Amino acid sequence: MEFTRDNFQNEIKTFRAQMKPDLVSIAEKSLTLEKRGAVGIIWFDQHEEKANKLSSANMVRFFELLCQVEDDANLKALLVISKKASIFIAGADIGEIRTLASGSTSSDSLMKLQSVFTYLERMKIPSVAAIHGASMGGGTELALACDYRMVSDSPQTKIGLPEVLLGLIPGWGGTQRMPRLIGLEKSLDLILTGKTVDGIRAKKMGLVDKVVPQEYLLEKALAYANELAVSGKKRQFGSRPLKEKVIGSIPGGVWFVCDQAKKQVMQKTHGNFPAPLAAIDVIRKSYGGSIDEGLKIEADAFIKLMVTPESQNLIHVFYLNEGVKKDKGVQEKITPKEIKHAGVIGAGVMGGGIAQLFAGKGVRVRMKDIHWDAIAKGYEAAQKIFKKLVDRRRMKPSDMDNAMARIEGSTDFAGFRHLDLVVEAAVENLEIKKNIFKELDSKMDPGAILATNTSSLSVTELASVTKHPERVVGMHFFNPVDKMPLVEVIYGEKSSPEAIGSIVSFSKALGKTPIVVKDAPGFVVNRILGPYLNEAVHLLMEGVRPTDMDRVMEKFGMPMGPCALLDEVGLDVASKVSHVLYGAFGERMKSPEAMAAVVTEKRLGKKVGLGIYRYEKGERKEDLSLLEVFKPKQRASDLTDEVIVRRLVYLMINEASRCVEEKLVRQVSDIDVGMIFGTGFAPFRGGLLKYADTVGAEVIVSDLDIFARKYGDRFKPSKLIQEYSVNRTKFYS
Amino acid sequence: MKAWIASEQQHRVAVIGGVRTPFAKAGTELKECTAVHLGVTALTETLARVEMDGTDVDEVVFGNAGTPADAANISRVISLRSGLSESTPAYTVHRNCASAMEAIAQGCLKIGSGLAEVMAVGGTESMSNMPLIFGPEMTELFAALNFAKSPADKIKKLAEFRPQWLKPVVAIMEGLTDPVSGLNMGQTAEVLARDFKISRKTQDEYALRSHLRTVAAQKEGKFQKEIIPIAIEPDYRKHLDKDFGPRENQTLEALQKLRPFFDKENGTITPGNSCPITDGAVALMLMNEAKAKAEGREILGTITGFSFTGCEPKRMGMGPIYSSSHLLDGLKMDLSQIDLVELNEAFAAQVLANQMAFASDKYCQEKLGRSKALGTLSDDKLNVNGGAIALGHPVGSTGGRLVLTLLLEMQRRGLKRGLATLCIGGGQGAAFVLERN
Repeated sequence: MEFTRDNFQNEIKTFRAQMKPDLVSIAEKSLTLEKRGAVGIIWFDQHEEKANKLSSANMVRFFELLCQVEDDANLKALLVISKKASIFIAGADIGEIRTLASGSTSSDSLMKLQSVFTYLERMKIPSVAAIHGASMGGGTELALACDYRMVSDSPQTKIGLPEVLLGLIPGWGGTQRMPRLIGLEKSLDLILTGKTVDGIRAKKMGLVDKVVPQEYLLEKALAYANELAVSGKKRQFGSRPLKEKVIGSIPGGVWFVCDQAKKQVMQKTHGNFPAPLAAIDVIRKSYGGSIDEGLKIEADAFIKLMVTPESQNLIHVFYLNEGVKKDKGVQEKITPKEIKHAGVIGAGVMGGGIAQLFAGKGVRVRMKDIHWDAIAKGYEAAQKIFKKLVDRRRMKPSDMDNAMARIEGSTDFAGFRHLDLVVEAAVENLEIKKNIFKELDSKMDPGAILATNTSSLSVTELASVTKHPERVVGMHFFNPVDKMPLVEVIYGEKSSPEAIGSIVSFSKALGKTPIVVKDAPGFVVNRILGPYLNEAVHLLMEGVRPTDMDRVMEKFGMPMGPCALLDEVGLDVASKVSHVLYGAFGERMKSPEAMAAVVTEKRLGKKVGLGIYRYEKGERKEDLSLLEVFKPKQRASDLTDEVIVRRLVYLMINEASRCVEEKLVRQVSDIDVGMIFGTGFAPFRGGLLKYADTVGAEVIVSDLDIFARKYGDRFKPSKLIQEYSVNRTKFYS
Repeated sequence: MKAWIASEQQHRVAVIGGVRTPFAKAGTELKECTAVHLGVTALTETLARVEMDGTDVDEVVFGNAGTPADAANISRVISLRSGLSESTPAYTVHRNCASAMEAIAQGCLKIGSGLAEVMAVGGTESMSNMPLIFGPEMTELFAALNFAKSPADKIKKLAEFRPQWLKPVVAIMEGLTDPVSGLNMGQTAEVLARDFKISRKTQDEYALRSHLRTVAAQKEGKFQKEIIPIAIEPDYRKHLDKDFGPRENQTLEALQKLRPFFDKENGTITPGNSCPITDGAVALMLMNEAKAKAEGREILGTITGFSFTGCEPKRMGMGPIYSSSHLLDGLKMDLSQIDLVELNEAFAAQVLANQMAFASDKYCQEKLGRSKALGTLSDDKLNVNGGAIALGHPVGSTGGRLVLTLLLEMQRRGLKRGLATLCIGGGQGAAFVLERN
């Protein structure tokens, strides 16, 4: 059907008639038209919400306003702008996509909404989008459909098409208009990574036409629109840069660029994420063709992606993350303590990492260790991380100096009394830690929070040596601290809600993802990883090559395989944690004897250059001398890749189900948040327990039973998962 | 100019804490540390030791002689980087070798008059990082090129360039030369050596004693209390936890082998009997004494009085006797009431000249208009832990070190009253009298 104003208007009318009246009325309050001389301003100000979004109701309303602008002969230019403090438009309504995906609503409606922007693009009068704050997904697509874009120079201004992060692609013309505007390569970079750019970068890339100070945005945009009202100049997708011309003119040039992009994506994702591949495919098929054709290709691909489990799982994880953002960690109404000046005990890998994190987020930190040699190492580790940011232009050199100056070294407790928080990150030794807590308790004001970064010791026991056990909590970071988002906030028997809530809130301020976990050996993440890493050693002894094992687990979706992870963590550390877990939970957590042998042989992992693998200049190499330590059997023919995955993953699910049973976390999703943000567990699978739901408890239990008979009792299914298997219950019910 | 006398002020000033970085000869261990980093290290540790945070300090004053190009008001940078509140003001003072003493003086003025209750003061100096600057011809050329209108003009200007214009002026050498007398600091010391007929050997013996006393103090761990180790920029891989300068195996023979530096023919001043140029910083926390007492704080000492005086630029090394005499008069005190003295060791000859002048009826009558000699600066009272000949003299910081070292030694020995004094390039002297209860 041909695209004309009249038949589109009719379609929209029918569409509108199907919508709930309350949604229509909210949309009417959220989008308004103001006429200022020759300029029609469409204001976005989502009713009673913080962010503007492009729900279908808003899209319909937007279209109606476009028609009103067209109908007023006095209006010669259009300006689209937001009233929100730090958001232009946050994108489509993800909740709506979720419902659409689960239901059978046809792709028809989506195609219609896509046409709203086509309509905008083809209006006779010129249009400008004035952007301050976040412009994501659909918001950016709206701006791309305008003739011109003006942005604020504020660091809050972030422009991007992050759809791939939700397993989708831009569906409202982003894959079409962005390459036309800034070329193939830069578009692929933005669309495939979902990354955002600030106003200044956007201007450099050609994504926007003008950058202005935030304070003048409205005045400047109005002036710009008035100029356009006079000139009536619509945009021409102008002459492309030479490089683009060359790519376009060489036969197969576009294919070549897309192919390269595809290779990179495959290398990073092992093909587990269909969205970036689909984006490449859409661009390859449509680049250089007609826009109508391209929009159709885009919409088809979007609809296919929307119903993939990957997208649904990624959206699930998105909501988990949103949940964490809102979660205060405790039910009680508390005022979180503001942490301005903190202390860290121990300047080792973790202590130094924590100091760097705090200093980088503007928190002063006193870093105490026994010797200045150790303190200097902590400083060095922090500086290295900042230096990398400076080298990548993510940080100004002066900000690095400011941050480094926030780290203070000390070998005594001078200055500790009035700190707001101390995180103890000393060696994993109960007696040493107890002494530290005794000392901290006597040296620090009672209002201070005392946290331990222990990965295996009991917070309750550490708290027991203090006079104020209510202020003692666990704040368990993951290594490397600057990269791993998870923080397990551990409440001991006597930890106060104030202390827990404060650490939850502080973790978020640090940009981390906290989950609140009850004090129990290994807490949640290490406890679930324990059997997984042990099993990896069992598999090695059964003749599985480490490279094979790591490959299948990467294919499954882990960021690195278990053997590489063992090397990364350090086999001595893993063995220590395993020992604690064995002490607490018995036989099922027993690490194979070979593990001890590896440690005695000083194959401690990456840090010493030799572990399961050998490391040459940081590069992982298979090492045959490992065979002498393990003396592995011949790999059995029925030990297929599939069995390897199941043995490893089902053991984790089994242990996770015990954590649920023991109520270590307040909600099932916390375990998935923990595994995704603490270990990088395949996010496109929605998390460990979401994956268990996908597979089904009955399948898992039946496999575990088989494995238990064949490989040992450690596979015996937990009580809870057996129940679930019988009742066909899901973890997320 | 009158001396500042505590008993004449509204409020008394207490020193409640202080610490310094290690001092290291310029161009060695701390050469890559900026003066800001040195100052921040001293100030943050001082804040920690007196258990204060960002909002507790009323103002920050640091002394600094060789202003870094990227930190014109270095005190403000140090203050903010040390976590002090943005609303806490800060300014930098420059009185050459007495810059840190001037900072302490500013603290006394503000607290004494009731303008402030808590003043963070100190000094910082990275003599390793004093800039090389272009001479006037080159500077002019740069300016001319900036204003040149056309490319042709630019080329014309460039054609005037002569390679010798690239020879840099070493700021530090310029800084250590007094433009009025036209004498370099070392040359002023030669004048004193001649005036007082101080032999090369006596000077070298004094220098040796400085090293031996400093090393002994190091070994006894005396400096540990006043030093905070510093992590070294730019990569922070190394740290320094003690002064780098004092030589344990220093011998008189080795000192005597050195050639005179400033007057190669007839001179006696060598690098061995002068203080080396050095990097380091000191911070002290001053507080209204009544407030400190009310808060139950440990008081290292109170400031009884201070004085700055001028003297002959050519004989700037005699500054200490002028300022000390002036201050003792103001305090109506006698040298015998002073239990311990820190007199900065710019040059061995200069310390010895002061020592002789203090005890000389003639000098004191002629130059100071006194009826008789000030008294004896006996060896067992004077610079008991060595001094700048061994430790070095980071120009902007030294005054603070003298006060800190003096107070801690008075504490150790249970003494009541001490004098810290130094000579100032350009012909001035500074003196502080401090007391412990």
